[in-house]
This record gives sequence, structure tokens and C-alpha cells, in this order.
Amino acid sequence: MKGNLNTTIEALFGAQTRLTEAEFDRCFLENYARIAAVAFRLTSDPDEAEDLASETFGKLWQEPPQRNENLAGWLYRVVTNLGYNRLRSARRRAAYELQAGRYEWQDQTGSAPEAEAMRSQEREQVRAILKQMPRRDVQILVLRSSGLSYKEIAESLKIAPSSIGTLIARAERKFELLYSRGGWDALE
Amino acid sequence: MHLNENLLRAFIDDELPTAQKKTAAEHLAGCEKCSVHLRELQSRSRQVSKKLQILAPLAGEIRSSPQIALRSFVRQKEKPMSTLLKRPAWVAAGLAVILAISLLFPPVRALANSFLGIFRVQQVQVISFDPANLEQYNNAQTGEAVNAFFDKNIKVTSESKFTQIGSQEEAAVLAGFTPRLPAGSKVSSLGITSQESVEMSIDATMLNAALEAFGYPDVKISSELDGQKITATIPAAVTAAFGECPDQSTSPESMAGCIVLIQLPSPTVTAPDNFPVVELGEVMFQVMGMSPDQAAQLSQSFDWSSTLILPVPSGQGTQTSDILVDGVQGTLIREPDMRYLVIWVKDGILYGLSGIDNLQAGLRLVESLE
Repeated sequence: MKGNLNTTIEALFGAQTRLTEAEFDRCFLENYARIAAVAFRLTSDPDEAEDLASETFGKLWQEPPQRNENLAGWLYRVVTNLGYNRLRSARRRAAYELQAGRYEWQDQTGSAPEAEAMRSQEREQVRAILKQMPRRDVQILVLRSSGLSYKEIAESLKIAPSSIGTLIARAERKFELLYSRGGWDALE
Repeated sequence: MHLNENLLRAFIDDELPTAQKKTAAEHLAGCEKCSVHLRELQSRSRQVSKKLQILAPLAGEIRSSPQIALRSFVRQKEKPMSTLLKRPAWVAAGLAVILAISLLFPPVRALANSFLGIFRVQQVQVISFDPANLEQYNNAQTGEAVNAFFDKNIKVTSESKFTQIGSQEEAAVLAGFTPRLPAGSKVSSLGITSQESVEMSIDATMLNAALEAFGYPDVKISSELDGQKITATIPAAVTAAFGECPDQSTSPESMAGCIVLIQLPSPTVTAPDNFPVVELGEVMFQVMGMSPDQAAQLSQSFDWSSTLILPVPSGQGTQTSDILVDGVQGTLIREPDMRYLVIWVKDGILYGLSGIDNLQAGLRLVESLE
């Protein structure tokens, strides 16, 4: 009964209001492309990215944020959270899997197979590093890489805007350290 | 005083406010240490950014357009029942009350009075539903919650009493209207059920929690409505029995020779103006088992101001159909044990005809009503 009580209290005092269908659709259409792009950065696979984006909007539908919260920011936070979870639980993709997807990607992107394979491998390397980093560092780096401003990142991840600079600098240092340890090409 | 890392990093990304940016630039111009620090951060930032850019999707790697993605998302989420099962059962009890009120009155009186009806009944809409849909909410906790809700929020302000009476004239006086009786048929017994009023206090919090639990959180009962009343008034009814009618029906067989006719002025229900009737109606229909589309369609096309909803449990062979009776469209409900109920509304009077295995005889009675 206690579990039910908590849920009820949440329901009664959380002041959550679901979005109307119209509001949801509008939010979806406005934000899907960007959220899907972030999802892709964390998954490096079109199907998984779609799935992750869908999961993110699913949360918007079922458990939306408080009324006064910026929806785009919230979506960024959710997609990077969910994406980070997937990243951590994903096993390293075997080379042959990357090969299998190669031809499909070629159709989509129009580039030569060698470039494809190279890119897949590089992506795996980057993801392997992110996988070893703390959640918030990954969120910050991915969102910054996606083009969000300091203010947007701060709002989305609920961090003080005045500390974004430091947090990025630290995350970059960690990334560099892990990358050089990995024994791959040294950063130029 | 040197520039801290936070400031330097923000400077690199041009994220400093103008004044601060100017100050920093000025400082850097004259400070070697900070310039070195800046270049270090810049270099690292460029390297890391280059690596992270590899993750960015190329054209074609994001397959769905937002429109297509939305369509497939919408198709996926059209599964209301699955969310219902995850909800705490006792919170759902509040919504079960909406149906419970409908089923408050004994079937013989044929008045499952929906509190969603407003104003005067002009027609009756029978809706079949499968009680199994409600089974999931039927447990000790929900039972408790429903009782608590009834105790707290529902008040019968005038209880009906049945009185046997002797004549049509007496009935007219006591009931406030002249009942119609069949010409030539002998009435076995005549009775009056006095007026009954039921008052429900709106408990917006509870109802909204219940709606949320059922998966309809965008149907909201405004807190403005808290404490306001919904009242249902069932006017005095005249019951006329024909044929061999035992005092207490012990078995269907014992009732086989008996036909009962009930009539009363249309019940009325009053509710606050901004009570979300159509939305709640939709919820009720879905709970009863309709698909969201059907429920929406029905609720929106309904004339809630003049239609009485009569939920009839289906299954176990109960059949409902339209029937022409007393010159109007009525509803016939039949049970497998040959029990039947015909309901119709004519000239502001709601009628119910009930019997067992004697429908034709009953209809003949109605034909001869004066």
C-alpha cells in the first residue's frame, strides 16, 4: 500500500499535467530532428537512434515535466540520460556487424565502403571512451557538440550556468586522457 | 590575479557577456600565463570536438522525417488498457464510482441514472458493457475506497419509500401526475415509490487522481468545482402489477404470470456549468470497454442534456435491441432466463415494462394504455 500511496501523493501534488495531443504533436514535430540527432550520436545506429528518440518522446507523453519547464531542454536531458544508459549497457559492436550495416549506410550516405567502415570504427572508439566517463560529462559533451549554448545546457541539465565552462573543460580533459590511454592515434 | 578556467573556457566558446569578455581580452593581452593556459584549453577543445563530431549523423543516417516518426509513434501509443493495469487499483476506485452511481438503482426500476446526464431525460441510451473489464478494480481496497467515497461524498437527501395504494386517483395525487393504465386490464396492485434525491459532492482531487490512474489525466475536474454538488432527482414513480404477482419473487417461475409497469416523470440531474461532461462521458465509455475512437465519437455526438445512459452488463447472454413500443423507439433488454425489460420515454414520462417470458402479453398491455 505504501508504494501506491507514494504514487498517489506524486499524482496529487506533483501537479503534472499531461500535454494535450495538439501540444504533444507540435512539440514532437518541432524537436524530433534535433533529438534524433542526439540519439544518433549516442547510438551510432539509425534503428537504435529512432528507438531511443521514440522512447524519449514516449516519456514526454506518459510522464511529462512540470508545466513551467522548457520542453526542448527536458527532451535533451531525457534523451542523453536514456542514451547514456544504452551506451553503458551496449557491448562493443563486432567488426562484422559494422560490415553488415555497411551497405545500407552506403545507400543512405553515398560514400565508399572503406570510408564507411572507417567511420564506424572511429565512432566505436569515441563511444568506447564516452562509456567510461561519468554521466554528466557525457551529457555535457554531447549536447555541446550538438550545438547547444551554455545557457541551454545549463537549463537542460539543471546546472548553474556559471559553472558550465569548468565542467566542459574538465570533461574534455577526461576525454583526452582516456583517449590517449586507449593506445589509438595520438591526438595531433 | 589570473583568469580562472571557467572564464577561459567560456571565453573560447564566446559565451562570456560583453563586459566580461572585454575584461578577459584585455587581461590576456598582457598576461603570458593566462595566454598559455588559454591555448592549452583551446587545443584540447579542438581535438575533442573533432572526435565528437565523428558521432554526428550524416545525411541519410536519420531515416524518418518528423512527420513519419510522429505517425508511427502515435500508432504505437494507442494502447490504453496496458497503462491501466499498472495503476494503483484503489485510486481507480474514484472513477469506478462514476459507473457505480449509474448502477445504484435496482434493475427493476430500470434507472441506472448516470450523473453525467444533465437536465431532463428525453431518451434512454442503453450501453452494453462487459463487467470483466471492471474486474481488475474489484478487490478489498477498491471496495473500501468506494465505500469511503460514498460515505463522504454521496448523500441520499430523500429516500424513496414504497407505498401500496388503492386507486389511480390516489396515485395521481401522491405521484403528482396521472399514471396511464391499460384499458380493460385489472391491476393486481398499485404502488408509489416516493421521490428520491441523491447528492454528490465533487471531490476534484479524488476524481482527478482516479482519472489519472485510469490513464486519462488530460480530463481535469477544475478545483473550482470542489465541494459543488451534482444532484440527481428521481421523481415519484407509479408501479402497477398485472396478473399473478407474488409479494416476494422467490423464483423466475413464480413471476411467470406477472407483468410490472413502472412510470415516472423523467429524472433530472443538475451539475455545475463547467463540469466536463463530454470528456467524462468519453472516459466512462472507454472504461466500459469501447475503443478510444468509439468512445470519443459517441460522447461527442451525444445529447448529454437529454439522454439517460443505462449501462447494461453484457455477457451471460444478455441481449439488447431496439423496439417499437407505445409509438416510440424503446429499448428491449432480454436475459437468458426469459426475464425482460422494455424502456421508453414518451411525453416526458419514463416507462419500464418488466416480466418473465411474457413479452407479447406485456406489449399488448402497453398497446392498451390510455
